[in-house]
Amino acid sequence: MDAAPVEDSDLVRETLEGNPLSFQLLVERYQGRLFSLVRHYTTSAVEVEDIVQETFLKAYSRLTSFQHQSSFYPWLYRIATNTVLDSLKRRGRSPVHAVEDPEAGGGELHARSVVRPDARLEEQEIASITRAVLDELPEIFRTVLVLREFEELSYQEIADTLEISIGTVESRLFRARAKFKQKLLARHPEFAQGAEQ
Amino acid sequence: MKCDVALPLVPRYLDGELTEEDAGPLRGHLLACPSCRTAVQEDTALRAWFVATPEVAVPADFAAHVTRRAFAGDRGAVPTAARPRTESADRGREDTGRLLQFTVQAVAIAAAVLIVLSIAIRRLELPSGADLKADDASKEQAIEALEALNRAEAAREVEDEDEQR
Repeated sequence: MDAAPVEDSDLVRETLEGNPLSFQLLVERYQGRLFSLVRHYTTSAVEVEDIVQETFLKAYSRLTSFQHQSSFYPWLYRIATNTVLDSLKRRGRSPVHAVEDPEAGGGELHARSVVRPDARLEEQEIASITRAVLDELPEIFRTVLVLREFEELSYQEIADTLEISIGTVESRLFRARAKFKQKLLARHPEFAQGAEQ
Repeated sequence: MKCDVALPLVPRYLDGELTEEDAGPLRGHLLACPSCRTAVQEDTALRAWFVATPEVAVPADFAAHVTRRAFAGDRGAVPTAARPRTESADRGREDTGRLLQFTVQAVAIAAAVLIVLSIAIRRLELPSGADLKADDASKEQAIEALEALNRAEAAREVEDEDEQR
């Protein structure tokens, strides 16, 4: 009979009691998700590994502050996203910051519609186009799209990770998608609805 | 449900954030409203740009390595250039490359099969809204059926235009 999986909170408690194996189990549990998250910000495998390591080391050093939190991975994601952005800044690749109120309305919301990726495009090509567009987005929009579209976090999980309200998640996602569409069509007008393919 | 109530619900519906209590009436409205169905189509088209990428291979000794560093008092503040990395990192990157190549090939074959199937299905019959009910629970099925309705409607419009000429 399979044993029930150990809860994150138990592993955290055991880690704080000085058990390295419990911390190693926590790392093993979330390392894949963090590698996946971080590679949306950098294509360098070395950088990805460095940033994920740094995230876990920071998490370990702040573990006492987690004790009263309800869920471990939004807390870990929050450290990871902050570490990614700090790291990019440190390496001279400042993320694009919003120069406008991200919750405010804007004209781009009425932009033309975008079509589905052409069936002739390989997944790798689609990913490359999407990546280039995301690189142009203000960090605040890029992060919410990465968490929702790639990491498939729920609105509540995104809210917990970014420490914002669910209403803000919803409006930020709406604006982020509008921005993404706008930037995609600026780079590739051929993907506009009704454009000649 | 009216369009001004339905439209703001579409992104939440597609994100799986609506309760069934709200999703049912929305599906009912979408069945009857071509304009709101177009909004669904546009939103799903945009989401299709976020394709799942192959999983990243984590170096085999990563967790043990990080744990050793953590318990040795490393707080992750050392400049990364001077930081030791896991020994299997290079091997992991080679594995990633092979996995990526395999995945791309597999996806290409799957896409070709899907295209052939969709052409065959389209030749068999044009879809109608009869396949979809407002209380269908599967979001994916509902979206597929709504998009089929849109396609059928577009085809009918083209036929009408041809007849008028």
